[in-house]
Amino acid sequence: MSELGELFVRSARGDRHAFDRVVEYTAAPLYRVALRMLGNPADADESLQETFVRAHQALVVGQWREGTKTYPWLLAIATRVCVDALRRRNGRPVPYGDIDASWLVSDGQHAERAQRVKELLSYMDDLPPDQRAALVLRYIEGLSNAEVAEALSISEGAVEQRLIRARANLRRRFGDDGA
Amino acid sequence: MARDGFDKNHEDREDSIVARLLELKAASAQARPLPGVVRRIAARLEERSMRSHLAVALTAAALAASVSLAFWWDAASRLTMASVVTSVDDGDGLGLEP
Repeated sequence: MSELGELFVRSARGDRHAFDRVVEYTAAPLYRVALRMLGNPADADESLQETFVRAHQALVVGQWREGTKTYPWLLAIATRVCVDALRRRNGRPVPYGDIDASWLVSDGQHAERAQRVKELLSYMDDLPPDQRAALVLRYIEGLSNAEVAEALSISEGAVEQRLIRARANLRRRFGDDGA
Repeated sequence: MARDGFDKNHEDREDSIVARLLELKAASAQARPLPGVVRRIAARLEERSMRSHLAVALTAAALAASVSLAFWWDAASRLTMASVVTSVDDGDGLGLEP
């Protein structure tokens, strides 16, 4: 069993120190997933905390079974938390000018890229939450359609449909803007 | 040819979408949660656990109070009933002969 797997087992038995180690190991990649799905650090941080609270609760009531993959299990929880956050935001997309892009530029070298990413984030904000989640998991996190299906609790066919619609929506937006 | 031209534009746009998504990936590759994330999550779990204990304690207290209330209500009812029965037996205040 992997080290993370052993920490999961100990966490499920109520070892809070082991769960702290789980957080230590997985917080950074899960934070990046949340940041890519939600587009701003404050929401990503809040969702990260909620992810681990839900994960801990699920572990102690025995919803994770030995032999189940650890990181994909956490990623599925993080995805559900982000989709919930996007649903709460749905219909009230963050205006382009209000997008917090401070995390996109660290040294001034990537100012142009930051502008393009900011534009992408504003278009992604108009997508339905499950389409946005499918795009991030498939093209940014590099998951297979089957893995995306598992994370979103939908069929592979439904994943393909969401990806087609999401790409069509973005294509239309970029096309309208002459990209 | 026109169809080929359309497909080429379509593909270019598709590629540009994936390219933008990969730019988002690159732009966020170094992003990390705010310092102290482990401590903040531990504090949130602790707070949640305390709230859960408090809820259990409050439920237990409410249950105990309702059991106690039921006990005293029952006792008071029995006393009242006993008093009425005694009064009837004595004919006290009811205009009956003892």
